[in-house]
Amino acid sequence: MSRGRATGAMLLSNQGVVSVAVVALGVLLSVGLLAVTGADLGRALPQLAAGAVGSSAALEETLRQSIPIMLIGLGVAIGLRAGLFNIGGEGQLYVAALAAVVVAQALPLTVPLLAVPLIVMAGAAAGALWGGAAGWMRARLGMNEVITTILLNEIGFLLASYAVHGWLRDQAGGGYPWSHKIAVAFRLPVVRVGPLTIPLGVAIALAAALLIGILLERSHLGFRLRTLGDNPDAAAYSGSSVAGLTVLAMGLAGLLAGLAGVVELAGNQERLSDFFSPGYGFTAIAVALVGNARAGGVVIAALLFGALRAGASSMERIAQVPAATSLVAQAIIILLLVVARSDRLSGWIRRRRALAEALDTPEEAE
Amino acid sequence: MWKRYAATVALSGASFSVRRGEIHALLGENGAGKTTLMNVLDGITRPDEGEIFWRGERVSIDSPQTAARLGIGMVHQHDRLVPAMTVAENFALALGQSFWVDPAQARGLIRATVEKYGGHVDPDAVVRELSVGQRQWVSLLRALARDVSLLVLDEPTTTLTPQERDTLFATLRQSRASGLSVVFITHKLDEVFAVCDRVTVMRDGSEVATLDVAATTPGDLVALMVGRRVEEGFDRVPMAPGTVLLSVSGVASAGERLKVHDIDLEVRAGEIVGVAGVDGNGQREVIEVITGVRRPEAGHVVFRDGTSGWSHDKAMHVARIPEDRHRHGLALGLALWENIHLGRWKQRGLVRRGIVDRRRALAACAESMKRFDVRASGPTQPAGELSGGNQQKAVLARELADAPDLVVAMNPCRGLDIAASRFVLEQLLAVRNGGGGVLFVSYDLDEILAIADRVLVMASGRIAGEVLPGPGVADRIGALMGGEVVGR
Amino acid sequence: MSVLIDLLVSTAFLASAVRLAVPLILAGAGEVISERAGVLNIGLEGMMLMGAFTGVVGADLTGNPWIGALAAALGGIAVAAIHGYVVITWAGNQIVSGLALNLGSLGLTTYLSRQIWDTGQQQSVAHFTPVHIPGLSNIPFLGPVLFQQSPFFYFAVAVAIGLGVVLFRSRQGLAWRGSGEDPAALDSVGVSVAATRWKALLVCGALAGIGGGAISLAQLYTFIENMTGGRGYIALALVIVTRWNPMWAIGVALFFGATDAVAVRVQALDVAIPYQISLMLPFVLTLIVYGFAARRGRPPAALGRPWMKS
Repeated sequence: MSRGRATGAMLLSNQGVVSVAVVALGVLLSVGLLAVTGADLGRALPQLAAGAVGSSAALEETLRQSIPIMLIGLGVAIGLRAGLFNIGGEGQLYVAALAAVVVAQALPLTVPLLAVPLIVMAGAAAGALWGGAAGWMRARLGMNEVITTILLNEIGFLLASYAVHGWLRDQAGGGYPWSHKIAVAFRLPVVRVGPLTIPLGVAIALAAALLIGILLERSHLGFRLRTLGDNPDAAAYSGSSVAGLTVLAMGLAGLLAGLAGVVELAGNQERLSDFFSPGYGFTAIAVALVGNARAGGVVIAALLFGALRAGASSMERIAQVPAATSLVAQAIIILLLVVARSDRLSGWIRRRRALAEALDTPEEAE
Repeated sequence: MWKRYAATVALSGASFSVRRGEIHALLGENGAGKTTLMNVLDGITRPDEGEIFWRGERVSIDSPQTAARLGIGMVHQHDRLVPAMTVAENFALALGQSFWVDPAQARGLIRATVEKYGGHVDPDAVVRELSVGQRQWVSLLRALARDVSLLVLDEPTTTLTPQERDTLFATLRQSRASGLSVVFITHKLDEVFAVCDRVTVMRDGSEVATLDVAATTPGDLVALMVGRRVEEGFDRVPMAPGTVLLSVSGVASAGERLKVHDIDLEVRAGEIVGVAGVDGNGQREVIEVITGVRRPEAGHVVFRDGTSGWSHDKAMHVARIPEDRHRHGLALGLALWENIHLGRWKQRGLVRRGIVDRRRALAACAESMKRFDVRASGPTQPAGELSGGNQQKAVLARELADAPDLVVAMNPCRGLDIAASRFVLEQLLAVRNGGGGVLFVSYDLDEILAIADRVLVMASGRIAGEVLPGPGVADRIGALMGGEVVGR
Repeated sequence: MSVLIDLLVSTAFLASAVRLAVPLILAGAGEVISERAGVLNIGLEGMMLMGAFTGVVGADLTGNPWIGALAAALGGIAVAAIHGYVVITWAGNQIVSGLALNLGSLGLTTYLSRQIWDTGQQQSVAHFTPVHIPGLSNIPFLGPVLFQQSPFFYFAVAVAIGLGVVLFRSRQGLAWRGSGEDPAALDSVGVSVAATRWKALLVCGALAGIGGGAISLAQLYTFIENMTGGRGYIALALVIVTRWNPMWAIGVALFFGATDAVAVRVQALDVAIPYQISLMLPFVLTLIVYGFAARRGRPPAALGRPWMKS
């Protein structure tokens, strides 16, 4: 029982330190896996770094990749704090983008000041509906939101896929099943900062993070959501409506995922396809977990994972290492995180901390 | 024996020995280490240091299976039966030898054990549907069924009626005659004198003394348990019952195991109404109806303001101290200050435009902590890290801070040591002395008799009778708890 | 409409419904055991996918479909072992671990399949063909539906029934149920909760792996990226509908197999139902059936709760 081990426990009880260590270890293990399976690391690794931060174009790509996972991750974080698990980001994103495309095609608007808020609201509303439905099914029918959101993911994706293969399909799209590009008035403007072209989505995501941070840590609603997450019986006993809060939390999570869908559509891809999301909804879960379900943590984790995604896709293009390996890396990071926050390890940490505090307390003070 | 947990030392060098054919009481307050010591003996808890000698040989007991092989059996305070299984399946799980379960064999074993030790057990009953007392008896039979030579009973009487308790004692005496040794964990003195031969008193994780019961007195034992003699009695101001604060009439509700019906009771200003009874006779259901956790199927609950049924806007006037502070009382993962304002942010004016005024809330919490003697490292410490006594004080601090005129409390002293229990009872009495009313449910008759102005007794889902405290009244209440019904 | 009705009572349709039900019976029965023991296994989809992959690898390397089936079981067990290490040994969060295993299995099988077979269209590997049960397979109507199936079907039915008997009539079954209902009670009678949960989880992994193998070795004869396509998720919901009884997994899986078969058949017919909508059907029906069943059963009381001995 040395002082050194107690200090180690102190470090491990700092969630930020844990998250950084876990991500680093996860990336290392994934690289090891690549090496074992015979990838050309000498070419792949520099490309990973270059694709993430190597140039202004790479930085822009990192930012672009960070926006949707930041927004969805914030929603997942709200759910986690309220004791709910929103796995449905992927489906919520697809139905939101679908709703936004439909609105953009139906309304011949030319004034961005009118068109952009409209499309954003349409997407957010669709996402909120898709997420809120899972909340309702849990509150009223007792259905586990993990399973319902997974099923709603498949349904939401297939709806969008059906639309872009059918009535929304751009027949002149070079054989790709995708929709027409949305009209210029509906697209999000970009901001130029020095050599960088920053999408407006970055501002939207950061503003959302600030609002969600205040909501969770400072607002009355946030206290009630967190009470629900910690102990639903105590929440009901202290006068909260468990059903109402459940629908609200899942609806908010869906709204943020919807926002991600519409921002990705109007600020990046400009049209819907059935390869619109390369798994943003699932990466966002890793983002929320690594960020410890805190708004600030989600922002940092989203930038980190955005960089990983940007680097991995450039690695795939240039060094022919499939981006599927980034899924493996995410899985490894999440698993390490689960162990780092497991009951057994946290119990050990608590005991060591108590010991460390006892060592720091002089005898006569007791 | 030594055992340390995160911040507490559960056992600090405790030693203990038991002889063949004796009933040995292990006496001590809650938290003295009695149960931990016996869990070590049963192989459930691994000690940090220490050794066990069994029939003169040093043994290492690493699991309950090893303990069972040696002939040691334990009946836990909260029974360790699987509620979703039948009695026979629970027997087979613990005692079966072959891979396949033979239901007929399990039934036969149960019948044989019942014949030997008494009681009434249906082998095919699902444990979930049994009363707490029946479950306790099944646990006891299951332990005896495997020919133990040392039986450890952890507070076995808390869920039994006085009559069932006497049956248990008779069974124990009979088994002692045939050479069985019994360790009887308790914090009740009368049980020590009723059935035990020797007594070991524990305090703060180690043994204080081992004495022959015949050569000691209750006063000596109390002094050993708490380390000093406690002052007896409470300050009570004479009060004339005032206006009706709570009126329950004709309430009926179906709980998990029994149906509560025809519940009528009133609580007036300036009185403490005690509700006595064995666990599982409908007290929980009645309190849940009053506090809004359960919807009644019939009847009314009317509060002072004339409104019927619980609604949360009454929280500032009606304090609720729930039976299970971990389930309804506290959100253990949240900070102490968040728990102290739980459900009352708005009523206490701590919310402005949806945002919580953190500084004022923290200051208010610090003040409550001082007033109710809540010991914590600070308002931001998670509630789950507090000791049981301080958690209960935190619940009191939340519920009593706004000067309520009615308190509804269920087993508020459960699991607390003598000093903390006394503090809780004093707070309830202070509400009464200040002109408020208290509805006080407890499974511990001594607590009720200590502070109640009148006592209702519940049995089998209804109110069996009403008794005024006074000398010799305990027997009368015991008879009512056992099911005798009198008109009121 | 009459075309559709003719279709639904045709032996070809029913036989394909039974065939499509096989992976769901296996994975569903396995998940019942795991959940009965208290371990929630969201990673079922990943175990199936891994089994589908290792099954094809095994069959491809040896040219023997039986070794392929064995490899499929081992693939599922490998994923289950990671889950067990995280949630039993370390008492970590069961939902999150399962999700990660789904992601990781998808990534790993995709990556490895491209490494092994390049990206070109892969040839059929050694696979299972239907076994005609002598005598029974000639029964009109029932014969072609039930007794001309791949060995996976007979295995699945036997396993589901066998596990039902074990669960309710053996001490191992009592231990599994105890571990999921009240692990403290199980521990106090001297049975190791961790060992009990490990056994259940590995059984589940093996069955899910074989279920995946049933897709790759008896339906498509090759590996395709993400070829399980969400069947693991349907099996998860199916478990709730069975009220945690492995024998019921047969009936419920047949129902979902039928909806799957409708989706397949509709594409073949010239009915004006788009491809995506017919693919959506099993998921929508799962959601609806789950909605009706959700409040009717009582999940194991300690499901999803980590257990640590003090």
